[in-house]
Amino acid sequence: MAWNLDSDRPIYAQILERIQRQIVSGEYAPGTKIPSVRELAAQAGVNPNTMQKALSELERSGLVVTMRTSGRVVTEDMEMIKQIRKQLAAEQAAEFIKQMKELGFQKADILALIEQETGGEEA
Amino acid sequence: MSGLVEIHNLTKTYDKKKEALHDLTLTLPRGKIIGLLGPNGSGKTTLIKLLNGLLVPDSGEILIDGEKPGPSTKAKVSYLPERTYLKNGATIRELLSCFQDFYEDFRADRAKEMLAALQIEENARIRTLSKGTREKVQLILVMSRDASLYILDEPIAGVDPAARDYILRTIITNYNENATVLISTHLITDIENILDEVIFMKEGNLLLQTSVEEIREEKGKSVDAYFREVFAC
Amino acid sequence: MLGKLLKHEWKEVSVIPCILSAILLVLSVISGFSFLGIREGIADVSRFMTVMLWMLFYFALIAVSMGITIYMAVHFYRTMYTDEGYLTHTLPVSGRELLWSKLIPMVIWSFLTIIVVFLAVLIFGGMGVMFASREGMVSMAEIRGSIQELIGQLQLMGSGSMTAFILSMLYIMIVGIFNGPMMLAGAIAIGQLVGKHRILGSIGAYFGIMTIFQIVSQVVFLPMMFGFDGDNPLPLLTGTYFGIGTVSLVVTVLLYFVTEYLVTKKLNLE
Repeated sequence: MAWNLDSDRPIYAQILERIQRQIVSGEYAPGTKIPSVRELAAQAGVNPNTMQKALSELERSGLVVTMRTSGRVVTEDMEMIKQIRKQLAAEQAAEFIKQMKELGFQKADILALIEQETGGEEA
Repeated sequence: MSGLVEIHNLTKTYDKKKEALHDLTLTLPRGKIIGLLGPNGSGKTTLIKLLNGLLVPDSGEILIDGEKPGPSTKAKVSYLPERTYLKNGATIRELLSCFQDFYEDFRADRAKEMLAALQIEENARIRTLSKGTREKVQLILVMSRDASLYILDEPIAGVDPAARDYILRTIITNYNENATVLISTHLITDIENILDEVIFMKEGNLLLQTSVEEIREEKGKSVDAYFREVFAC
Repeated sequence: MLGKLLKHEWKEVSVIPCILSAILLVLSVISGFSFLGIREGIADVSRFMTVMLWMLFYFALIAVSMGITIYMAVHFYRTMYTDEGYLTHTLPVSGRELLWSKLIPMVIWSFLTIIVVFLAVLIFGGMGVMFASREGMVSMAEIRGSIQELIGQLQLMGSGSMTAFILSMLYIMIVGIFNGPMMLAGAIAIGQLVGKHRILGSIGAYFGIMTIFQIVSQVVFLPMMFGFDGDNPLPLLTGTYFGIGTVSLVVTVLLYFVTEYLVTKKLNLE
């Protein structure tokens, strides 16, 4: 279905992560309305109760706010979004470094690789 | 609150020798999407037929909302059988009026909306529709009811991926929020993400009933992989 | 709910019998016109055509009344015990209501079939008499005469026994209107008890019921044979009709209860 999810990891965590990313990347801009649980569940092809749980978690963390009139919207607290972005980046970096070390790369090799791979973009 | 469906010591035997269900005791909670899984001959279809009153048990009992299968449980159970039961000569409009006349919980406007989205004419006769379209029409009728229990027998068997997505989306968007959906299938991978719970059946009895997130969390496995492990011979 | 069931059932089940009845009535008019060409010394070809038309009408009579009966039986089987049964038996109605909603239209059509056949014969015969008398082959006076003669003969047998005879005929016809559909529905329901070959089971059950029915009828009929004084056959016929009528009434009622039990307590859809 529309969302690519691994069936061997808790679905709830994967949905949570995915919506966080969508918010951080600006796909769901601050202040925009999030579709209903039912709609999102149908889009993702997941259980509505699981989707509900993920959205509740997002609400608890403050990234999503429930407005009385317009339902769930993305927070307009830019500071918080920035913080989540940092956190996600840190997690990715840690994962990347772990994998590189498994391949036998040392710190210097990793830095050189990054330098080489990102070199084109800066030019 | 007690479960939506309570099954106690249910036994059903065919032809003296073949035992389809043996002393089955089971509770289906409210508000969950539950997968009914098991190899062929494990008693899934027999259980479904008993829930719908299409078979009569030899012993034991089934209570749906506290009542034995009968006219009043049939009024709140919406059933999608594996086969198509639509009359060949009937038009879509006649079917809608039949459902509206008999099921108080039938929402004709919802059914019409879904039919329109698929561009199925209300004047069309069932005989003129393709097998895939007939199956969709039947699903639309079943999912347009605000039932307490939806029983879907192999809803995605033998359909292409696009149709499968349509079917799963239709189920998710339309089932009544407080209702329970029981889906029997052998295509676990296709369906496991939409489940709350799974029931594994084997040789006419309950092998296991658990939450799917528990399987993923505790075993680190998909339901499909876990099923293979449990039923490995 | 029975009302709603009946409404849907009647609408669904009546289309084909209506068409068949209409065809028969049209055919009776067409065959009736064949009398137009009858006169002394007509050509062999037209005589042949006329006889063919009469035969066609005769076969149509049988085909239509059998066709309606078979159609009703197949419809009962199809909606109760095939894939369509999955919808029929998950409607929020009781087994008894379902059964009645099937049986009532079957009984009504079994009655209407008799009426339609009667009408068709009346049209055919009426037109025959009309055209024949116009050609001068029969005179109305002659017909009137022979009818009077027949009535006279019957009166000789005694008017009391005549009334009883007519009553017995009516009795057996009315019971038959109920007995026919009940035999079919009962046989189909009983056939479901067979594991694999359920249609064969139904056919077997039908002939089984027929055989039992005939044996019982014989047992009722035989003693009356011995009481026959050889002079006036009317009381014997009256007694036989009342006897057979009562046997089929008992069979009908018994079959109803068996069928209701099977539908409500022994449903076993494949």
